[in-house]
Amino acid sequence: MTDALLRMRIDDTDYNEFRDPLRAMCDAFPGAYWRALEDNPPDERFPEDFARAAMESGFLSALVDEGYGGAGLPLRVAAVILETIHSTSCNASSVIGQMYLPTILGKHGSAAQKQKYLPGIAAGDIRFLASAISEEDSGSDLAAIATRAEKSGEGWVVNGTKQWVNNARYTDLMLLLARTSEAPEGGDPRDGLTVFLADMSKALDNGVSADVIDAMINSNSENLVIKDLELPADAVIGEIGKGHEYIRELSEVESILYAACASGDSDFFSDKAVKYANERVVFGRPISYNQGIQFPISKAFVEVQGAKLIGNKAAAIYDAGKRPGATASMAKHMACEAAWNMADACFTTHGGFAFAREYDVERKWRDVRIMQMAPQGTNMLLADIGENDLGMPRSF
Amino acid sequence: MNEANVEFELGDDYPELRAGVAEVCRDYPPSYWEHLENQPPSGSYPTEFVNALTKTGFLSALIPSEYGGLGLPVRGGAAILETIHAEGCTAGPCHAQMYTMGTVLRHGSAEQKQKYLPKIAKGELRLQAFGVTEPTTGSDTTQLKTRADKVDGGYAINGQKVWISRAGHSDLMLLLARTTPADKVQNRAQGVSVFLVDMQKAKENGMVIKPIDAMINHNTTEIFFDDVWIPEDSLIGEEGKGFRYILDGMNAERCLVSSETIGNGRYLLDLSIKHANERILFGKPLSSNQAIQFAIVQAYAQLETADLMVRKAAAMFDAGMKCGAEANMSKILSGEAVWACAQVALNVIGTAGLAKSSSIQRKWRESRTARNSPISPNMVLNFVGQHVLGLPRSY
Repeated sequence: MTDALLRMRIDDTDYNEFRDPLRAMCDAFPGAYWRALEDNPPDERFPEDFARAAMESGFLSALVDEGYGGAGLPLRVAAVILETIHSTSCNASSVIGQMYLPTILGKHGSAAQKQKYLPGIAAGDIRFLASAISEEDSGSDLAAIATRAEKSGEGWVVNGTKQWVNNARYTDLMLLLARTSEAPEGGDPRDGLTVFLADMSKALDNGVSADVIDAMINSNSENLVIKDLELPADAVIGEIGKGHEYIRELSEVESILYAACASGDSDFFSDKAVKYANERVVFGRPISYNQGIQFPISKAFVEVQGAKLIGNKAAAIYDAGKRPGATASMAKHMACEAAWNMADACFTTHGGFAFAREYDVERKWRDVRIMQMAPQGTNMLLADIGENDLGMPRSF
Repeated sequence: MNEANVEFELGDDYPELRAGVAEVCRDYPPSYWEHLENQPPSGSYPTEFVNALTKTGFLSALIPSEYGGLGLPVRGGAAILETIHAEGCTAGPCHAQMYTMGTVLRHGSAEQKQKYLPKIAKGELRLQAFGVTEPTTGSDTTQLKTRADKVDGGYAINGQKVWISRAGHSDLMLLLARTTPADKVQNRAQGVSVFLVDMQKAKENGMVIKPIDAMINHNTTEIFFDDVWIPEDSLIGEEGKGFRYILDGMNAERCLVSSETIGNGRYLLDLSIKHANERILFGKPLSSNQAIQFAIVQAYAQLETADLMVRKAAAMFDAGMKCGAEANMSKILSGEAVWACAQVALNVIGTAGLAKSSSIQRKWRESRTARNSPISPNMVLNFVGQHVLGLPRSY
């Protein structure tokens, strides 16, 4: 339950001063651009031109403080930016890290770290696109992380593996979660994890080898093998051993932003479905006259409008200086469910043409399905709400 | 009106109102409602509960203070109705006292307002019946067949209404009837008028009310008019413009009944969570099973989402903005959400929830009704398709 008297604006088409130029930027990367990337071999699919344009636009610095050259905007604006990108043919997964990963530096980095990295990140000169958390034997279970960082002189030596790390070969900085000490007996088993900042311009092929995963979507995900990776003492973010707390905090921001991506995809699908249903003539009239076509579109659209409100609420809580907690999980869960229903209604509306790549329906439909599982899966979101909002026991 | 400046509160807004309403409700536990359901339809009205709510002034929430009401915005009324339902009571028998007067307030003459509103605010007059639906028209309102023909000093009413709730317990009824035949107007929405009918006099003049025994205790009726005379000053506003007048009121009604639905959802979820956490089976609380816990959480997430749409619609209504889409979306989202809550409550609580002494089955029946009434979900989807998405009229 949220505190009373926190207020929220009603609108869902706010911040048009951001939406309009973003749409113009995205127009330069139509469906054909993204389809062509998918035709490339798995290690040549990164949307470099799009990523460069997004970096140069300045929009990705929304959450970096103005003191470090960022835009210092509310989380709500960051959400609007991602929602708008996803309402076009574009997909922000290549660059979303640049927007939210720096918040961990802003909140827990040392003065020196902030000064060293944030201005470059804000300007788009330093790319911060990757976070290495998941492992083959851990997944959502942070306590089971086996990657270890051992003290070596002033610095650290890291060994282990990571999986499903997006954009690892296209980033300058990578957030890396590793165990630095055993969890205290009887305490939180996640204690003893530490967040590091790895300089990938040095580490790639020099301690970190990346192996691209050929996947159903163009996410540029990699499996990483980390072998004797040397990191300096100042690669540690925040307190040693407290990494899981920072990751939890970061994942709330991440969930709110992914919810916005899903809602943007929903807008893409509802526009596309309405347009096609009104134009496609079968049995002598547009198929939109059929309630079998129209009602699933309208129904999913209503769900999307509700989901957007939960997203706005979670952002409003964050922007009021509070932790959104399980409301962030709810925002992501509802947005992804609604987006999936909207995507599927659009898919059905297009009939056989949904399968034809030139419509972009199947590409976006694949993208949306993934968001129900990543970065946080539906079951973990539901468990979070059940435990932390409703007071039910941990069920796993 | 700049949309960007309209805001609403999160969490328990109007805390004093909620506390006051909850205090009244504590005197009306589940056994009170169970007892009413065991009475014949004619004797099942919760008179004591309605009197208690009237005495505290909560039902006059939306009447301006100059007429003796609380002068609250729609959201204030919504908080009252939500609380009544969250406490396990039901506002169905009296919620219309809150909003049916809106048509008189917005479109009535100064004399009509002065004559009726103060008494409605005090509870001396009950205006709880709204005569729109007919057996052969349903949602196709402009096809209504009840006629009001001009006669000496007034109108003669002929026709039939159905699903008119609380007609047997109301002093006044707002009645929609055709004053100009449909073939004499350009548009079917024209030629329909609103009347404020004195129920006692109308009964003396031949109006017959028959209770309908229904799945929920909603004191609903069918009404027969056979040349029932009503005086000329029963007409509200201009003759022939009644359809537009009642549409105005429907958005407020949708905000308010949707908030009751949210209240029911909270009641059902609270009971479900309490039971799931306390009930030990196979050596652990029921709630530690994901099949139980996740179903509760899914229903909760739907309810929280619907609640935001209800708040948004009310905020827009209170700011004088067009809110047809939001009010309709509130209705369908809250109806689906409460049904998810009701189903999960029955599943979690099991057969114990089916006992007549359990309020679960009573609230489950109410929840199912919320998905059909006062507007069909199909009509909501039609509205959204046609007026929001730009799809054609499909019916």
